[in-house]
Amino acid sequence: MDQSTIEKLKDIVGPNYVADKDYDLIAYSRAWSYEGPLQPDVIVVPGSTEAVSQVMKLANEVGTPVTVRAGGTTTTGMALPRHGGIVLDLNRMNTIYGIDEDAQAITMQAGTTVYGLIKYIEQRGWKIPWLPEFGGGVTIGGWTAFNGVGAGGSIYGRVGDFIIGLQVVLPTGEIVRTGSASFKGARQFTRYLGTGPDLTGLYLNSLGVSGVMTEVTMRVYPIPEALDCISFGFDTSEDAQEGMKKLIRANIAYGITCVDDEMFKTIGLPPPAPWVVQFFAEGWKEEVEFRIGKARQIIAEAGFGNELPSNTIKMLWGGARGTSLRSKPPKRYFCVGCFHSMDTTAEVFNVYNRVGEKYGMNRGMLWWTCQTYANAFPVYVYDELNDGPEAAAQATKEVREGWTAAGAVPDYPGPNPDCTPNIVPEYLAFWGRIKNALDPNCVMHRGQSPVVE
Amino acid sequence: MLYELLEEHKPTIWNCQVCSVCQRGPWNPYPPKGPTSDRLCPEYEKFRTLTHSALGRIQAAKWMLEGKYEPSDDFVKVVYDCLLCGACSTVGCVVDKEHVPMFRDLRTDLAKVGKGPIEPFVKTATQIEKEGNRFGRPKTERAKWAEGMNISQKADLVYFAGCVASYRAPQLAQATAKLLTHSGTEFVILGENEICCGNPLASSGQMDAFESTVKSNLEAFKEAGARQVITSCACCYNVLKFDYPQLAGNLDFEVVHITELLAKLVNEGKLKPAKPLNEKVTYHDPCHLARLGSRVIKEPRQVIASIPGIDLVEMEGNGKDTQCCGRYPVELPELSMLTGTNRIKDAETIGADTIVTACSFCDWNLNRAAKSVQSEIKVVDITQLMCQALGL
Repeated sequence: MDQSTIEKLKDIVGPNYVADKDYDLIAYSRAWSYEGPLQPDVIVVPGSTEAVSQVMKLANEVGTPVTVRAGGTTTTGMALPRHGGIVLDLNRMNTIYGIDEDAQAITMQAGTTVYGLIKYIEQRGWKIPWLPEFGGGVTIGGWTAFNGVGAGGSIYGRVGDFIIGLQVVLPTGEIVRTGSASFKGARQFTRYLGTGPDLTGLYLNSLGVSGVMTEVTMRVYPIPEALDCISFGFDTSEDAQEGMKKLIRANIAYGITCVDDEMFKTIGLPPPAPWVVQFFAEGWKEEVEFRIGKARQIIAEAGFGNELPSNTIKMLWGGARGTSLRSKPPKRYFCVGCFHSMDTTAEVFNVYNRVGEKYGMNRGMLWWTCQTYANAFPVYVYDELNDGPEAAAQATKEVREGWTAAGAVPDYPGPNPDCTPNIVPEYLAFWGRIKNALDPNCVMHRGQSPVVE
Repeated sequence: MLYELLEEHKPTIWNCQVCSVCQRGPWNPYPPKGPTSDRLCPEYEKFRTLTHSALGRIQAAKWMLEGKYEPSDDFVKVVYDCLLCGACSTVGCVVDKEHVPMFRDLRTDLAKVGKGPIEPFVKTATQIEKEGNRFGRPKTERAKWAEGMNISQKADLVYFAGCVASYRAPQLAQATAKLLTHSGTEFVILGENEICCGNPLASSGQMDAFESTVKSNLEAFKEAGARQVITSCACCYNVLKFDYPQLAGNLDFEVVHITELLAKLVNEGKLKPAKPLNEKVTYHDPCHLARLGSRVIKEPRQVIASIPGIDLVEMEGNGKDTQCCGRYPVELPELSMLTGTNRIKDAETIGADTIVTACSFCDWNLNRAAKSVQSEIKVVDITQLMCQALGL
């Protein structure tokens, strides 16, 4: 990148927030995934939407690609610059603008961490729809761009289902609001309007290719009187699938999650059952008691599965799951995810186990319902020092192939050769036309969109 | 091998998850319950790029070990911009619980190849070499704080005051001495034979100078016949307790922090604070006492709680999850000031009248920060608070 562009970037965001030394580029060359190193030419850390807009205009002017990064925790490597250029680090943009209690909505800058958001709203008696299960660096912008999930998805679905509107900087630099605030004089209270199709949707699951989200408005709820759970053990993945299907159809769950015995072994706890299903209920105290009792009755009547001791869930929450992945000697882990219908659950579980066994990897299944379907997001432990990233990459490929064959939809990264052939051509062409119209110079996450750029 | 010490940390370096927990926390990364914070790494808080975080240094270290990166002078500065407070690893790193030894080894390796330390640490070392203290003040004035205090000539217990309490804040050393005397605890001091504990040398990779310091102090302890060494500075405590044995093997004496002894004396009824201090007080855990190696967390709170009238409240980030005070007011003044100021804000947020701490450096930094932002909050050492409650 030429020096005059660097100087212009410094003028936009301030000299302290442009980093282009060799060691800066190294620091940004990896993300959560096993991919990389992939270096940018420069890192820019903007503090405002207006600054992001000016950076995008400059990027178009000089034709340099822009990759957005915040927590860097997309497990598919989307925070890595595949063609150099600018990495736009949004971590400075972490202001929470407050709760609109009437609209039950909160607006914040996209670099706000999810746990920072939770802390802020819990202190004020509010909650976000889900109980997230990930590390502290994840931002609301990243969670939205990934359209993520958490426990609580049975009733609330995915993050995108509760996004009311966004402020986005288009790839060409214009600043746009989606949601009801796109109508003059209206504030953010609903996402869908009679004024046109849902443009917020262009940014959910976009992983950055449609532009830069700078503000997010999300629905929030008062903290319920009670939240409780009950755990059930199942001997086979097929039994777990059938048990969970019955629980979902009863329409009484706040969330249903599933972990396996491999997870317990990986974190050093005795497995209470091969498959452990947790059923969460929230609401008024009596309501929660009723729902828990109903879940207990459903599994008892099913004739398979058994209730586990009440401390089963406590072993997993509160830190054990995350911190105990610290192994000696230290190891890394990678995640691979998919969304699937309930009747493919057992096969999704079986593929995960087959690949894990083949490569001899410690692992753990993480699985949540999203209303009537599900998200599997297992972790595999690997040693990058002694084994390198190759085994992780190969295992990921094989898991995705197995899941695709089962009818699940893996969370492919961008232009992955495993991905593009499986997208229906007409859909790909439709998306390509939109992408090209939005981003005529193909600056956003160049090389990461599945469409021809 | 060019980076011999760093080589030992390869499993951590290669397996860094790049998860960003080391920049932004939170304290408890896996709710449903527990406080979270958007502020974790003091250095990242100031500079706001990954370069200035554990993650950035770890990635650079990997490239160094692979022979793909030759550290520049600017990078060496980045390496020394870290306060070594350890928040990055203890709080939530999924790979390794201890980053500080790795970053110290990185500094030592850089120093060995002539690329470190940065100038302020060299100056500190020069002053320690010349006068035995980090300020370069005359060695003969080391025990000036003890004049007129009628300290014993012979005892098994040695009070190691440290540089800050000996030269800059004599009231801290005097408070400690008064409490020991009041409780009937016989002690001696090393006088001019006490030199800097070596913490700034060990933490900046100046290991030859550190070894010489260790040797000198160990000889002085031996000459005094020490069976127990008490420190009132958490930095001195940490280096004596953990670093000295690494160089010299098992020590002939036990290293005890004053808060551990005070808690014992309170429990035994040898210290009975009677004067009510009607204040809302918060305790700032020094990193060197609560996080880095030791977990002296309950004891200071027991001591404070023994004082009538005290309303003890907790700041966000306490115990092992404490936030750094700033640590290096001389070597890294700007970063130190920002970090200390943030801690003052933490105390103000919970409405505390007074911050109590148990480390000469925390006392120094927090007082300096409170003054700079014209905060009305008082900063006192736990020994001073106890003296006040005992009418000493």
